[in-house]
Amino acid sequence: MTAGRASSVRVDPVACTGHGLCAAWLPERIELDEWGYPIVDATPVPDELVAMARRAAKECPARAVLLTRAV
Amino acid sequence: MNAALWYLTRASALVSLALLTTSLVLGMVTSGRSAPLAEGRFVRAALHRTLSLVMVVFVAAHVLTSVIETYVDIGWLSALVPFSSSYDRFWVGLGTLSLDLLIAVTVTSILRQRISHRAWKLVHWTAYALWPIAVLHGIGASTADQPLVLGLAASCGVAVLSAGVWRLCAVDLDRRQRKLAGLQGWR
Amino acid sequence: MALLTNQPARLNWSDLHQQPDRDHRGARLLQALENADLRGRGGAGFPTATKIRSSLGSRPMLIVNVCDGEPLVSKDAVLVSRSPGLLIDGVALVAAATQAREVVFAVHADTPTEAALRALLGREGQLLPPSRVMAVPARYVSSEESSLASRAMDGEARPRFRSVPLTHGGVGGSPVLVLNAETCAQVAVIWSAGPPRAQLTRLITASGAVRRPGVLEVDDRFQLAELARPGFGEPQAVLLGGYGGTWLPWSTARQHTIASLAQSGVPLGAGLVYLIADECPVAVVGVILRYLAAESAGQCGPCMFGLPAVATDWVQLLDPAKAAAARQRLARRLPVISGRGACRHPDGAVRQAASALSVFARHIDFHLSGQCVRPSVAAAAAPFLAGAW
Repeated sequence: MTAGRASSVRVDPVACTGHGLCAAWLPERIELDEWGYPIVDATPVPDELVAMARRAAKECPARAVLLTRAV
Repeated sequence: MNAALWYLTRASALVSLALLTTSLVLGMVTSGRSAPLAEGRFVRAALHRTLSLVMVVFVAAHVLTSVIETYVDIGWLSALVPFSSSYDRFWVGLGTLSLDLLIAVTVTSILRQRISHRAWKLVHWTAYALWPIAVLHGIGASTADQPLVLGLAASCGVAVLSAGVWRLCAVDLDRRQRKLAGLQGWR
Repeated sequence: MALLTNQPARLNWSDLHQQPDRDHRGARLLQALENADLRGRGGAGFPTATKIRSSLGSRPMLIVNVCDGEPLVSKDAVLVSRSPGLLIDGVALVAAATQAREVVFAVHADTPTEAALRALLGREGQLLPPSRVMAVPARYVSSEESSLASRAMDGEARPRFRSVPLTHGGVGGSPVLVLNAETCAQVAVIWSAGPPRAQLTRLITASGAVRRPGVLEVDDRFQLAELARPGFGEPQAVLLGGYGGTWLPWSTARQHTIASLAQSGVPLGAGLVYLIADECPVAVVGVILRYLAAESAGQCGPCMFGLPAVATDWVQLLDPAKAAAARQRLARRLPVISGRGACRHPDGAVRQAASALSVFARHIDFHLSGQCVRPSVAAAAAPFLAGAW
């Protein structure tokens, strides 16, 4: 994913086990529900947040956070 | 010079033990899901990783100084191949074994994004074996009897034991639900 | 021409397999489906032509869903017993247009429909690409399309997360096209008659306090009022689509036709029309919510924790001491559960609960003031869920 190309965050809900780290890295797009699972705002991530979004994906212990190129 | 190296070996071993213990406890608390203070998860994960990496530095120092100092004869090969040392073969071998495990855990964690989640997890689980092996190595290979050293060893033991008990008892609702659902017939 | 009565003549099979015409015929079929605006009859209502088009050239595995996954719905079973020829013809048309490499008929295990399908394929299977009957466990989420794709590839019949659509290999890497049995039969009807949109029929399953329970074929002008039992108490409300459907008050629903329902955006889903007359509706909703919670595949957090929580909240709505808090929790929970699972199961449960909350608001107040005298469905829960009503 090159910079400047809009991408958005997605979560694989089957893989997600609710560790909640993604919400700590990317509170701008991810909040947690009362059971600890992410509620994701799929609005494309602006350039200045892309690094954090990647970080959120990388830090997920279940590798459930995906960055997808917005269509 | 040799004396200084010897002290460095001992000191880095003690620091490594303390760091290894803290890191293991943090890891157990992180993986047991209904952890106290769920908000602190973020900090815990960061601390777990940072302390582990700092520990790697101290372990490296411990191994380097053990090989370089000449009171006892430990060669480069026996630093990497378990039970190949002519000096104190068994106890030094345990240290080597834990070093190898540490290398495996560290390398797979650094490459975590590129290897399968399952492979990472399997290797990471060996950290539970790493700790007792390293502690045994410390007990057998050292001759320390200072209260400070014994006290440190004892408190590390208490910490790991209590975290282990907590980890076994902690109810991970996510895991439990998944397991129950998976047992229903889906074929 | 229609599905159950006045069926069109069978396809000319020798034509279907003639190579030179194939692409041309496929294009004509898609055009006809588009003109008729055929939408999937399994529940999601996705335009069929679009779905088939995205499978063109990929030689998909074609899965025909004959499961009647909705517990009270039996239209797929009726279709197999009364219009097997239309089903096979429709499947053959789609299989030919997409050059499907394999056809899989998915059906609940150990049902009469499974036996009927096996016999049908024994008679007519040689007219299709390599085809087989796949028995699926009778679980609510097991007939969801990714569950079927997963099962067809020898996995579990549980929904799978897809980062690309099924038609592009979202499960297991190879392209899969899943169509409902009624959808396939409609393809055959449209192909042979090319009816304009208004004449396209659909199968609904009337259930509950209706004149005659069972499957009936209706067109756009059919009025829901026709379903009511004359001489009995006025129905209170109707559940449309399926357990994951929408409640409407009967006073509104009785004025609707199939066409006007579509215009007002109420989906008919898998075609369930369940009328409730005498029972306590709040208890019925509670039973359905508990059932849906228990039917979660237990794979996605919002579903495995959210649905039981909502079902419990619903029960507490009726307890004066807990009602206010339960209402607040529902207001918080219902909006955040939808759209976050690998499949739409939680979305349906939430849709049903949310519509029940507004349609039965007055009845919930009755309970809180101790005025509900209607028989509770709780004792009858088991047969209700088994579809015996």
